[in-house]
Amino acid sequence: MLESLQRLFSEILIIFSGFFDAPLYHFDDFLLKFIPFALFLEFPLYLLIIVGVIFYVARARKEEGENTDFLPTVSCIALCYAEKDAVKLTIRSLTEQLYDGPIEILAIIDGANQNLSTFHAAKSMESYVKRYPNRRLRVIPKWQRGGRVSSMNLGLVQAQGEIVMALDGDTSFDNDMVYHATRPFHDEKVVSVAGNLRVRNVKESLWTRLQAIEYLISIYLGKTGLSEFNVINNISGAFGVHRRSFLEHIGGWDAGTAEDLDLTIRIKRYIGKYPDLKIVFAPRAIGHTDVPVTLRQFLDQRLRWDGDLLYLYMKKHRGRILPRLLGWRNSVMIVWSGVFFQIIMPFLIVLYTAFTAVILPPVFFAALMLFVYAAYFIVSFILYLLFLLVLSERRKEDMQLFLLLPIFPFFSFMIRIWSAVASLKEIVDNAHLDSSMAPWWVLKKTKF
Amino acid sequence: MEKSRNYTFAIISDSQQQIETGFTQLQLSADGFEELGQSLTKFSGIILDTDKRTIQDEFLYHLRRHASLCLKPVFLTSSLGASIDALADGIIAEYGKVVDLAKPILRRLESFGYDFEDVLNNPLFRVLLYVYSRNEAIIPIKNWTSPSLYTYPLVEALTGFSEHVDQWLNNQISRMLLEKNRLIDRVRCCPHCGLANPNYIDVCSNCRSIQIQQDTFLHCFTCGTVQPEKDFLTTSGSLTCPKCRERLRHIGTDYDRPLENYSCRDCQSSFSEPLIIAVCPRCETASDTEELEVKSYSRYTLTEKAVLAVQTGYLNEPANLIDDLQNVSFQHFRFQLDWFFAMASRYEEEIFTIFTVRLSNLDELEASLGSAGLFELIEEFVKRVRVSLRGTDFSSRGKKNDLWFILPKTDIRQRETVLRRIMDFVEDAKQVKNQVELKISAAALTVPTQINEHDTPEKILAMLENELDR
Repeated sequence: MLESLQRLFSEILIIFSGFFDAPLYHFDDFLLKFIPFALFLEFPLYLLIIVGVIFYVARARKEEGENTDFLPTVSCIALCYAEKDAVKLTIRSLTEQLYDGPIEILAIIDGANQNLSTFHAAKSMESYVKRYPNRRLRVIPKWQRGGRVSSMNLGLVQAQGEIVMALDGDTSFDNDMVYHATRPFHDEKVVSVAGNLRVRNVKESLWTRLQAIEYLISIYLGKTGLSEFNVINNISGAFGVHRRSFLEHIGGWDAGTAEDLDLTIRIKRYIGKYPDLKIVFAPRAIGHTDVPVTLRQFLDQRLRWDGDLLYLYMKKHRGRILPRLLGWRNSVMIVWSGVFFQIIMPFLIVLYTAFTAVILPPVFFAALMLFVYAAYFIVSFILYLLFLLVLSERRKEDMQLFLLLPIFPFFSFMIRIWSAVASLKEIVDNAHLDSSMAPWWVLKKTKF
Repeated sequence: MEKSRNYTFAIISDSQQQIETGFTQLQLSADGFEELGQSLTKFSGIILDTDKRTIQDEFLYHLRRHASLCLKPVFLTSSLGASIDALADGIIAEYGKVVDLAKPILRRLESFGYDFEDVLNNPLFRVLLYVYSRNEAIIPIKNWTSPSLYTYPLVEALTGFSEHVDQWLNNQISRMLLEKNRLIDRVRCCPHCGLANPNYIDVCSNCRSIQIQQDTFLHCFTCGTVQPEKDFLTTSGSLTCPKCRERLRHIGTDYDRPLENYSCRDCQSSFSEPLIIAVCPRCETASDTEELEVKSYSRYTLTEKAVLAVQTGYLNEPANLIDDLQNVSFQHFRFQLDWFFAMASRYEEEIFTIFTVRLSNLDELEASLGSAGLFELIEEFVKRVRVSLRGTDFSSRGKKNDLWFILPKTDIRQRETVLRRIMDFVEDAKQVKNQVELKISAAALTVPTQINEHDTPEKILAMLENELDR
């Protein structure tokens, strides 16, 4: 028994090492088309990110300390629903900003009738904020629940700052967030800035740690790199920063779920017409948000997000992701990193894995998986190392996650499979109508 | 009454105008209320139509202070400010309106079955009659130029007091002539000079200096240092701990504000809550807020008893009936006591009894029986006392309506007979009206039988009074 197991492993290793000696030797033509597909399609993106990050570091070093007297007025729209006391930390972290310009905090309480404790928590901060010069808190109760979009549009109408931030009521911010989030707007061509999100409850479970790695690689590192080529693929709804005049010009947020991605696509369409306008990622503008603690909660959240993604790309904006409308660069990026990576690839991976598992002898299959694993581990390792070396502002804490990198590829693999499940569910039963982001009677009215 | 049909009004103005019948125009000279005063008595009411503020102001005060003019309906043609308007009966747009407004007042004044001019020398009656005839309340008027913030201009004018009006009103309340109706405002006043609305300032809790400043402290979670915020190195968009040089990025995670403190530049002391004191802008007295005098201003209305007094022209207070006993003054009573005491101390046969009676629940009884019922009861009581006494006995009214008696040549046994007869009144009265019981307490002492060597007349009075209070 032990002997046979040993033999199995040595066979796997032999085949595995064979990939490096003569990769083409073991497979027939059909498989050849599939093995490197992930590498060919995914790895150029990673290369692009790495190059972008190097550009960013060079540029950031040069620009540091410039325009420190650029202090536009800022309105922070904090969307509150059932955050309860967590909203206090959000308000507090915004009040404590090391920013000499004026900051207006609009706490919009959606469905304040049901969420009285959130409303009172926000109200209780009024006297505290009042003591700070240049800071203003307005708690705006929306007694009847109307969903995220209505809250943000209400905030937009009430906001007076030149720069408007759409923030989640349970996200808190570093004290230099506003300063860094406003820097890019000194360039008049910048219309929106995507803020950086970190995982606040890293230490709570293995799952939050793995999500933290994912956030750091895909948001912190990924968006920093992509931003250099003006191809940001989403401005998070939990942390988006916009020039108010521009946002008003394009009509604010649109009804429906995944309003953040929806807004991003609409902004990009606008940029398609005026190609010198820009969306920028501000890596130093950092917000901290809580992520799901258990696997179950995590899967629920992703089921919603990924389903919304499909809904948006395939249903709401179908036929609009054209070079004619978005410009060739953004079209390619949306098709490649958005539609392909986030929607098609999960299916391909599931199908490919199942296919190889069926047609290859188990030993070959195991060896192949080991190969794929090794490739992803090396990529994750390089990306995370790059992140730690050139970007991380909390190196000591981020270093502790290094030990989890060996299991990170499994986590990624799981996310891909789950993403396929989510897309399937969306296709089958229009799951976005169940979204908890707005009540059903609002979603039912939307056109899609 | 006949005269009610043709009321006549005097118009006081500084310009000549065309006027209707029933109105007589009078000129007001700068110096002159005195000459005008007498000629006004024959009119039913007065219209003051002049723009000269000082004249109006003074004129109204004079009018309301004047014994025979103070109840006349007076109307203005424009508002002169709340505290002056309060002295008039209203503002009219045209002369013709005056009759309708004045009629109810005049009717009420005519309704009395006696000549009220007789009682107008009494300031109390002026106020009661005025309030009654206007069917109104006594209302405090806000006046920011007044040190007390609120005044009762009408009471001031009618009584002629400019101070202690509050005290006067309180006295009328304890005499059950006025009652507080609705609270209008509460004002905090300087305990030294009474000025309303002192200035509140936050000062050092140690030395009461005004030179205090707020310091905020930051606590670095990395090294634990707690220092004033200004010691932390802040540049645009970055905060660094002065001790461990750690970048502090997130409130609540990297650092916090453990306290917000005040420090005093004069005595260098440090405290978390400044002291709030009230400084009077007039006399500069600084008081703690709890030392401030709290004054309430209310509307006052007439009680049933006051209405009765107005309607009869006679203020009957039940306790006054006690004076039917042909009391001697308490001073004289004291003098008599000393004399009896001296006699009794020297000659044993000069025995006498001193006793005192208190009717302790007159207020309660008035509430239950009504004024008239109480009158009857007291009258009965006084009758009973009178028949129990001998011609040689002394009586006097002391504090709190206590009755004091000296019964010469009366020993303990005889004294008990007298006392029993008086006390039996309670039982007898109860059978007639079985409502609230009259409470009589009594104390007695027979001299020299019941005294010690060292007793004095003062001691005896004090002893008896103590017993009543018990």
